[in-house]
Amino acid sequence: MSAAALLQGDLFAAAEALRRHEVTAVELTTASLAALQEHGPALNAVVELWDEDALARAERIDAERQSGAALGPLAGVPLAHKDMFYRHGKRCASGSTVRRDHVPKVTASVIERLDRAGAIDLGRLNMVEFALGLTGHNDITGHPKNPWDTDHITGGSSSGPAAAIAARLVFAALGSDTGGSIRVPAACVGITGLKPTYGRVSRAGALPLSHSLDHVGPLARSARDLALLLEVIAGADPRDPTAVDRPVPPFVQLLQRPLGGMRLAVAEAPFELPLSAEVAGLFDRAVERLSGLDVETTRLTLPPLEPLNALRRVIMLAEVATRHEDFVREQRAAYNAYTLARLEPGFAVAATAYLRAVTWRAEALRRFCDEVFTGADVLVTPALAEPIPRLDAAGSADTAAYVRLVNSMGHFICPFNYLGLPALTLPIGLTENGLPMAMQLVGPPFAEARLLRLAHRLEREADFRLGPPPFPAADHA
Amino acid sequence: MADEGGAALPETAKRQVTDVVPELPFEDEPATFVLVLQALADAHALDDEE
Repeated sequence: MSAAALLQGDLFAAAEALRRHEVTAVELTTASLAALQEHGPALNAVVELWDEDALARAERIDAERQSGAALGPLAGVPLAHKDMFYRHGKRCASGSTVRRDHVPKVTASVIERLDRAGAIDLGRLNMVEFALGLTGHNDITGHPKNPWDTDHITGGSSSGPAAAIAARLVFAALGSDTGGSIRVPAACVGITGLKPTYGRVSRAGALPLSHSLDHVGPLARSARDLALLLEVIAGADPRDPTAVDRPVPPFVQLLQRPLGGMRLAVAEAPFELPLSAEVAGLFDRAVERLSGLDVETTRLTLPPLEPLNALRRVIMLAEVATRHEDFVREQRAAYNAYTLARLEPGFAVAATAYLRAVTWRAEALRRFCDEVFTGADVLVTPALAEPIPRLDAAGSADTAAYVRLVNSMGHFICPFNYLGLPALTLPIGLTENGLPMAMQLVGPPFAEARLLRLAHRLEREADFRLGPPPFPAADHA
Repeated sequence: MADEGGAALPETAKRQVTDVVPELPFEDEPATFVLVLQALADAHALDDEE
């Protein structure tokens, strides 16, 4: 199979082809760079490509493979990441003008781990300014566009990775998720995204936004790709004290375990936020498809999510404002107006409100787990309540319509940033506008293996996956 | 890290927090959030996963 044809598939298959000497790292890297160069600009997905560095590294890996050296699980696989993971000596702007010329002196721990596993870093992908926005808009770098219909949003803030992965320009990417920034864009473009448990993956060297809520995780085109990437990036890290010293399971190997009657609690309507009739129909049909697997399904009235969203919002407002206080004082004019509108209310959050929300977090988690996971292994919820909107309908200004939209988009998603629970989104079909729709799997703490195993079976046995989007036409295969 | 900045003005946010968390316990034992996550993982995780 040619490198361009492999690029249409998933990372896992490409890594296997490399191991079997059916393709070289140079061929795969060249194919992904060519696709990013040709189609990335139309999607506003790419910030910068490191062609020479990537090809030189690919040549070294090919030579090592030829020599019979032991190589890592990602040896020769080209990736590209959201422009917020620091690499020593390489510019990292995080979608902003403020940090346009920032050149880090450190490398993110997750990037170091991918390097050690043999991945090839192709460059920086577009994102929302400072990761502060759920629709994907960015007036500074250009709005990334959804490959299913380029008039529609990609979701954010990992907008460039989502567009590039869905369009088959790159296999997978790292993103970050403080309030849905991995799961929402993955849902909007028909791929899969995982927010691991708080503490599973180090955040050291990733642009901080809200340290209590920030999570780093992968976006990809299959659950087995997520498993492979998580296995590489997870684990304790002395540079991030919240990254816990807990064994990292063999996530890929565990995909093969039988489901064994896994107990699924399926969120039951009516919801606090009603689904559109169209989304409700897709969710119901997806739930019906679960019955074909070796699982036990029960219906569950969700605990109230809005209180959890309110607590998360307070923490995020205060922490984001704190993080940006000096930049805003010194370079206020360099910020997008809508970013400031989202950021500045945090300066007025009372310390008591913030600390109350932080203090309650452990108790809220205990209560949620008692209520949901005493009788179930996995919680199944809708991901989004409404079809993916158009770019111009979503807008980027701080209007009431925008606030209503993003509160809707985050309703089922954001509680799990506050609770720190692992959550994964995967596609369930298309709405009438031709855009993807998704559902969400949520587990108890550190139960990523369970979510990945279930998602893998859903993809394989119940067709929870989408083919390539209309853009670009698959003529680059 | 996406978010809905502007969705909640600070005074609204404070009221919401007070509504949601009406009383903080005085009996709780000091614990970091990640320790609580780990303790709950041990209670809920499947044997084959950890």
